[in-house]
Amino acid sequence: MKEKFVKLAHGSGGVEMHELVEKLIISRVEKKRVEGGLGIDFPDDGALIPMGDGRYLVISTDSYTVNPPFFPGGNIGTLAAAGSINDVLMMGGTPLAALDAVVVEEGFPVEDLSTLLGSMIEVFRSENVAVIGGDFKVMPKGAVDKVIINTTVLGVTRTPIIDVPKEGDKIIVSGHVGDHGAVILLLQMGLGERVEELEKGYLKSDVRPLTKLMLPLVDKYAGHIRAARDPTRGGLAGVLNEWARAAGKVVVLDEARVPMRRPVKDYAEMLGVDPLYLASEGAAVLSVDPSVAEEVVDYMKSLGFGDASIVGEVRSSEKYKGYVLLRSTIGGYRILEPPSGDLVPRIC
Amino acid sequence: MDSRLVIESVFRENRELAYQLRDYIVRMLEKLQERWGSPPRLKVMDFCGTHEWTITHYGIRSLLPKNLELVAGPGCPVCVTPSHEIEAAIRLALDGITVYTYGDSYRLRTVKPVRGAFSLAEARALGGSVKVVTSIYDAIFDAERHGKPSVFLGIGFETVAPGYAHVLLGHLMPKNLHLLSLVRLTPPAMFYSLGMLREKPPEPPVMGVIAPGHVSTITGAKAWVPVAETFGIPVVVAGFEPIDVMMAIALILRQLLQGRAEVEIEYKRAVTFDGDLRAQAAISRAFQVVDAAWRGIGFLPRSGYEIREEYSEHDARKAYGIPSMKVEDWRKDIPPGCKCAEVVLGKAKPTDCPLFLKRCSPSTPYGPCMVSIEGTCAIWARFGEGGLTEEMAKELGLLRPEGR
Amino acid sequence: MCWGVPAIVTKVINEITAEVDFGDGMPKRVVLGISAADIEPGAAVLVHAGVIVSRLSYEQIEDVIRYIEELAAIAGEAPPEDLIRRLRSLFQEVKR
Repeated sequence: MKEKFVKLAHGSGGVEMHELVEKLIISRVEKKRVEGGLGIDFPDDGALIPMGDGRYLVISTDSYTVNPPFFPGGNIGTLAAAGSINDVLMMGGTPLAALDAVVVEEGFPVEDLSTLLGSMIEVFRSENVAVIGGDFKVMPKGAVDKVIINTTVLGVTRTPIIDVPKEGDKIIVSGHVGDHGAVILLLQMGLGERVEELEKGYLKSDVRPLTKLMLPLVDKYAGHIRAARDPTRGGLAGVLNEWARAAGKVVVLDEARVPMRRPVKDYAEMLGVDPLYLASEGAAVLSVDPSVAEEVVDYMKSLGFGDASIVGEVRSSEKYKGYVLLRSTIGGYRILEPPSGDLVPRIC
Repeated sequence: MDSRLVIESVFRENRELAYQLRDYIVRMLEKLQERWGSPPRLKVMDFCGTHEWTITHYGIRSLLPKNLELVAGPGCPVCVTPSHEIEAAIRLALDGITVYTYGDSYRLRTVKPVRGAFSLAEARALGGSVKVVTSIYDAIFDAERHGKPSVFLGIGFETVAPGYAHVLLGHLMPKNLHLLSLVRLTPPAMFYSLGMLREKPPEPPVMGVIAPGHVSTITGAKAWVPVAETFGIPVVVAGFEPIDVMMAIALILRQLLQGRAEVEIEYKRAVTFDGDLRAQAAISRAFQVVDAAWRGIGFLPRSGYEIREEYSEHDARKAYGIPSMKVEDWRKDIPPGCKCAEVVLGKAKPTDCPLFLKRCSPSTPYGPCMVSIEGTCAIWARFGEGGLTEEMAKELGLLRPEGR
Repeated sequence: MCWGVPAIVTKVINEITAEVDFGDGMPKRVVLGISAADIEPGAAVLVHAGVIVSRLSYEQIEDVIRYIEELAAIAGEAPPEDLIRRLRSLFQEVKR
């Protein structure tokens, strides 16, 4: 193994993480899927198991760690519930049930824990997802940082979305991207302790379940949606690179069309970080059949996602497959590289 | 809010003006051909790393005609920071001293590892105390709070020097925080690289320089007058938005057409001819100019700032016995076959190196220009400079035909 | 090296420090690289690595129009009237 120690960069959802996970897990697992389903060796939001009646069971699991656990726009509880619900939705599934596993640090205030878990339970309730089981552990002080929540959400679908973008597809985003990632950067920059000020700032996480967007959309346009993903770690750049690589296509992105909130842009600029790599927790990216793309955008708008827009398209090129080519705001071109390393501010 | 609005709509998100300037550039090159009697082929040096970033990030090369090349100069303080200084910082971090660094130098790799760590990022993974900050002020704030021994890794050019100077002169740092000054001065490096180019002119020759805008806010545009006079080429001080850079290229061509070789300021909204005299005074009170080592280049006379004796209580070199490098200790930290030195000086493009994207790539870096993710070779490889993006855009039928 | 970011001064604290807003609504302390006498709340400045290195001048921004006209002339083309008109009205708006 090249690396002797795990670095933060290994958890940033970029190239380093994929390499490590491939080496330590995927390559060593013999049975990678249930017959007829989708498994660990395909990069997507979750797994599929055929139920024998034409339907599929959709399963997705995720562990959530944010420090501090409360942040503008939400907390680790809302994130844990919405995040895994969204993963199931992006597979084309209707979320039905959830399991949660909570690890808490000794000494963590019960009141705070109650608030966090209350938020989580509220999201599951509002999205009509049953909480059917879970696990609860306490670690000695210092052995874990405050609280970690793992959620597993199960759903069913007749029309799974297995991400394979096709030539000519339009890339659609449901709205502003990068909001959650900007807040996380803010916390990492050590501003997490200025909680009151943070609340007054313009940066808010966009964390929310996308049920009201995805269920009607999948209902109406299943088959036309060739891929769906929520751009969490690694951001829009991460999703598009994964798609380009997996489908052996070129994705062309028009930077000027990507909807982004002013404060997110400004904050990213201040730190010298590219906002296309910032996570969203309440946005969807779709690859859609061009014949219905405009219609899909209009329908998304009617569902309350007013900033939905076409931001790019999928092209074919044997020579350059796997690349994402970005058209800049002045019309020049550059490669939008896959995420790598942890996002750090720069001065040069 | 307004300044951002103007800057964005005028200088950043302005395809219309970008295409307009591109057309002017094409026309002016045609006129140069009439004047010179042969098709002009020329290089313009973008000295500053941030200019190179703008050029890459906005795909400016893909907008320019092929006979006008942009070549990056040695203007990245991260890339020119000698390996041994980063090694010293890693050693401190692993010894339990908190090291504050900008994000740029956080990932900068050393030539040889220190106790298994090739960078401050790796030192942190090994348990070292490394904190990424965006300014020395963040470090002061944090160090005051925890009170433990700490060092600020003070890389940068003239642009950061006034900030460090005010901190030193005002004794703003708590006793437990020391500054490791790695400040480098840009004019000596520009002189050196252009001098090297004059000795052995590249083909095509460098016929203009885009000078660093933010350095010039401090030094004033006057700092570049000797460059224009000595080398007889136009120097345009430019801002960092894509339109600024394209405008600067157009202004350089205008000077060539008019037979001028002067210093001109494109970046008037921030730069004056004299610069900030108060800042210059503060800098010279706090620092003395010394000969300094530049990674990949060598020892340049009078090209670095060292903290003056009067403020040595804040100097990390004194507090932790970190020696400055002596000329006789200088070893080129460049491996055999690697063209990094020429790339850093603007003599060669990354694509001129036989190792580029063959033996040497971002995943298996060989030379320092690829090792540092901000290095010119790494940037070209990551973002497809040197023709790759144009080829891709052409293959996909996206590129606008040349001219109109 | 020169990642500079425009910001608006919200407070001048003393001779060496000020507070600025980068647009994220979180006031941030910065070191004054220029004289405190040269700025006041509301001033647009350039911040590099936590240091104010320059005050932005709106008057000088308008020079961009002069450059466009001059470059058009030397390139032998008519000035882009539409673009220039739009830039002018933008500058007017900002001044107000």
